[in-house]
Amino acid sequence: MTTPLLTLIFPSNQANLADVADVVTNPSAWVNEAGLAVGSEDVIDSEITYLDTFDGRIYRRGVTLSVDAKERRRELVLSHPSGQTKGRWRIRKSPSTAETLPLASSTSRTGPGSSGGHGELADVISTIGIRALIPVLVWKGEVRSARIVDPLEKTVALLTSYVGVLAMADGSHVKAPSVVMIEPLKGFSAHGEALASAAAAYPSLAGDLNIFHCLAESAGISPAGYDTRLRLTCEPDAPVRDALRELLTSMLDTVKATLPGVLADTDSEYLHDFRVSVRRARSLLGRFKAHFSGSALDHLVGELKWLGNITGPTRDLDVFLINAVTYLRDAPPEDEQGLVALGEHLHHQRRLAQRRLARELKSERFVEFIQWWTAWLEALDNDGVEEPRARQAADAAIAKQWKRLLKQGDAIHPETPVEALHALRIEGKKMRYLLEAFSPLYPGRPMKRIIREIKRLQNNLGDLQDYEIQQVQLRQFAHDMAARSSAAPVEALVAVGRQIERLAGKQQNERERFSDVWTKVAAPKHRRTLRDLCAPKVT
Amino acid sequence: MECIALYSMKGGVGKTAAAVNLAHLAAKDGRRVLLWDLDPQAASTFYLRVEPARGGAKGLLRGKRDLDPLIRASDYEGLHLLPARFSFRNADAALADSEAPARRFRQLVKPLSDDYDLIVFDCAPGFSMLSESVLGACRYAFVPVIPTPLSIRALAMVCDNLGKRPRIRPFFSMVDRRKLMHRDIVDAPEQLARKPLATAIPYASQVEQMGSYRAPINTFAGGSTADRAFAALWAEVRELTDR
Repeated sequence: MTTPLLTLIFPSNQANLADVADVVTNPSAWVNEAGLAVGSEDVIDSEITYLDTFDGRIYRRGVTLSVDAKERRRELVLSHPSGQTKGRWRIRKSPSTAETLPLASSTSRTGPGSSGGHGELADVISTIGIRALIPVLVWKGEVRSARIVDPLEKTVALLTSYVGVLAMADGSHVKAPSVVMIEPLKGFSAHGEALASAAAAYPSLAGDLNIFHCLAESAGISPAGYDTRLRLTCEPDAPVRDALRELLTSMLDTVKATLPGVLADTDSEYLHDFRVSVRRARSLLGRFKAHFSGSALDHLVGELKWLGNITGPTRDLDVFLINAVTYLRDAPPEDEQGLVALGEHLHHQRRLAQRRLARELKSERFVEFIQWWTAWLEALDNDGVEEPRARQAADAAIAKQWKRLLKQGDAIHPETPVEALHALRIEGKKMRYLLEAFSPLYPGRPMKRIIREIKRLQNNLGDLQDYEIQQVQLRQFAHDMAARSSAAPVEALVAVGRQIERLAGKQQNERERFSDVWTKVAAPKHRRTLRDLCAPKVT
Repeated sequence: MECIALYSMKGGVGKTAAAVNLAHLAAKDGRRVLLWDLDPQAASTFYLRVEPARGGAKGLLRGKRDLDPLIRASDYEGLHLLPARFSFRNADAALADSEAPARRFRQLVKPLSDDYDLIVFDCAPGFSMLSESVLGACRYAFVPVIPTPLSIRALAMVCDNLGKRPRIRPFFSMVDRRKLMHRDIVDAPEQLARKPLATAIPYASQVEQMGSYRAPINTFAGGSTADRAFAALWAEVRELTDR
């Protein structure tokens, strides 16, 4: 059973600073009111770095992960948002990925009753997945730790206060909210309650206390990280151009937000999110081209296509390398050496591809394009022309795309050439992007199920295409190996050959799954839903 | 979870000092430790500055009370205390109607294994149903022996009366090497009914000062002869229990 923790947070703009100072740096007055006294006290300079993924996965898990550095010691701390520690691990270096976090078997300094630290860390490791851990907030200041004692001089509670600043990205500092934590020792909860009553006289924050949330607010950052999902806020009867401007601005914002991570190659998801935003923008412009002027639209679409092209090679290699772990595991032992050599080759190719990509994204062409796109969106207005309402335009676009998708999908049978499936994949993406972008205009989110089935379709067709691309890449690799040396290791070539066969097998499996997957997408209930929502345009 | 007992037929042999210091050192070593003070004199409880509890021994020993709410954290990280109760003097009556008191006691402590790596029982002196039950729940019983003939005889009685469990490991306590008798006995340990641990705890003022400081020796006299002796004793206990 863990000991409850009382947390008091004093906002940095607290009106009565004298009160805050009393509570935080001179607690004797109110501690004495509880019939207790402040025993020995330590003051240590400390730096606490909160870690999370770019998209706030740890925050959304409901915990915080931080590196506490004081004196010469560094600890990884997993906490409840109120500050209650769930686990502590001594570390040498700040972790940057799930693999560099302490494993469950390592020694943990957790107190009795909090043995859940290892399990919770394992959950965090699985939540992080392939994303990198980045510092999202840095707090620096004084940590005061005091023992609160009873008349027998027995420690009954620990009082810890944090007074400091937040280090901002531009090098400046802002005053952080002061935090006081009262932790009664096990068996002394009555004393904890007495302290809480005495502290209640001071104007701290009430309600559901989340220290990280408060710190993030003070620093002006979102505690939940960057959200790449589209959230259209305009009204259904707003002019359609308002909706399009809002959506395209959101996509441009994601391109800008993910760019530093792409350039630094922090993790592969930055590039994935960058590409998805580019594809969404292209898809939206293609569907609603009638609402934009010709030359500007051509320029925008052309540059977005360029971005799709220059990011493709790196992303393809990322997908291969992400799957390579599974391939290695599934391969027979005699192929292991060959596949390891393949892996090294792919990593090398990826490094080259990333360098080329970074050059392009630092080029004048790219910088100018982003500036142009930003200015174009800001200048986008209605031109005084009568235009349809957002919902009306969405109905028509969805209806048209749905008809197109059904026609192509219904026409596919087991002997249909694979190119038709690749084409269907693209139409499925366009359908999904439309539904995701405009679903806020439809109350009750009736398209949720359809979107889910289309995602499954995309996974099926996406895997199909990935396996094909990877077979091509492997053939090229085998050629390169043989071309480099006439004495290319036979084992490596044989291993590559067998891997190509396995990929062909997986491709065939996905092909065979298509029929079931498609049946769910094109189910009568989905046809009815879209007909009812987008009537009378759906037939 | 490991259970060990500090036990002796005789009082005043350094049992409680050993219990408190070993428990503290084990906690410093990273273990989650519960020190259970079973002596109505409540000396361990006093050393750790906790108020002894009142009443309730009967219900506790019969398993009718949850142990967790009775536990108190000490001032030392990783060390908790189940305080003594004066009503433990009537413990035998509480256990008298139990068919297998040792098994009952083992069941009583079993739920603690989620929260603790080590339980150290500070037993009351003398032989009783309670001590027999506690010892039955332990793998090792460490018996402090002052190097005198009477203490050696008392050890022999304990060894004769207890079965194979727990394993009895005596250690010399309150050793004053200025005394010829102490030197002779410590230097000829084969006289003891069981082979003693290599460490001998000296007669030292720091041990008495525990009552003034109300704290383990390591916290106020770290590096002293007594502190080093208890550290060495813990090292031997740890090696035995880690096997």
